[in-house]
Amino acid sequence: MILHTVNKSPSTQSTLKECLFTATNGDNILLIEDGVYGSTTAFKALLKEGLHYFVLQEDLDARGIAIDQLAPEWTAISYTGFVELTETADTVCSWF
Amino acid sequence: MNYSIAIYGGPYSNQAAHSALHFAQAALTRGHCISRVFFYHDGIYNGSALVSPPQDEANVPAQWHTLAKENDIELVVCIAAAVRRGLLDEKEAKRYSRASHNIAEGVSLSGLGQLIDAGLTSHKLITFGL
Amino acid sequence: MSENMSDLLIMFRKAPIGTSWAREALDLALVGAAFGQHVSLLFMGDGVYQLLTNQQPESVGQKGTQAMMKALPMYDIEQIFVSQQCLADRGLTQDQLGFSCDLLDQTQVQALLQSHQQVFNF
Repeated sequence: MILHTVNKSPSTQSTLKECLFTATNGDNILLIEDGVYGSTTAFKALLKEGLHYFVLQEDLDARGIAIDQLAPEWTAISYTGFVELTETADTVCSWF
Repeated sequence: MNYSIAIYGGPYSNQAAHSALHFAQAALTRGHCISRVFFYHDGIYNGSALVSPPQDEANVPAQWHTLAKENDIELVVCIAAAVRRGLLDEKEAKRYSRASHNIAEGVSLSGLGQLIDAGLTSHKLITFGL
Repeated sequence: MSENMSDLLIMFRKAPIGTSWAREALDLALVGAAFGQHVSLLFMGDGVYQLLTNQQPESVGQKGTQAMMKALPMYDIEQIFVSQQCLADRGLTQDQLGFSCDLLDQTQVQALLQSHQQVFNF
């Protein structure tokens, strides 16, 4: 399993799109920094099935994005959750 | 587990060094060891001793230097990326005939091989991009 | 695709010239090879622009990446992959590229990533 982290907003950069192009069934996606805007309902159409979607709570809070603004695929996690995801990943791939 | 971290973003302009710091603190709290942080691209500016934000703002490079000291983390700056961007230690200042040097105490200049080595010798290498 | 898996996969996703990413990613590839690692390169996204012929980086005061790209075989870096989709998205064809490389479809790109434990993504 690969953990992909993405730190760019999907409306200014194709980073999330490129990440999802290469991700395969069972991979984990984690949005951090400006990447977290990608978890809002506006970008739900980009997502594909078979992946697990996570978003960093601290970065959501910093940007004033509430959980009820997220597409249902996303689970908000803390930095501890981020570390846990890295523990189980074979590879961590950072998209920026 | 044994972690290494790569940071490609400089202080203040973007979040990379700050995100990496939070990640490192969480990893240490979970009982992991962080052996090396490698600074590349604009990340090298975190190795400067001269970063001086206003008092009510976080000094992320200084926080890194402290965390590293307390937890025996090796802070390594890519030498090729650093000298191009004006981050020098005493030896490089002499080599390039510069009047001063500005690398922080506890930070060392070394080759890019240290990043390859970090990937090979750590269980996990986590990168924080610009 | 490659039967003999490499140790390191370096991904190039950024255009050359405008930023130093292409050069700094190539530096890492060469150092990885010098460290005895088998290195594969994957060009995707705007990284495919790095492969175009006729680049004249000296016109904006740069060295560019062409000389380093030409040095790859000397470092035994011979597995150079390109995303077919990313070329097509930019209206490019393989004959416009200055380097010999293997075109990969989406499934092959995904398999390439899954087969590497060390991935450096620039």
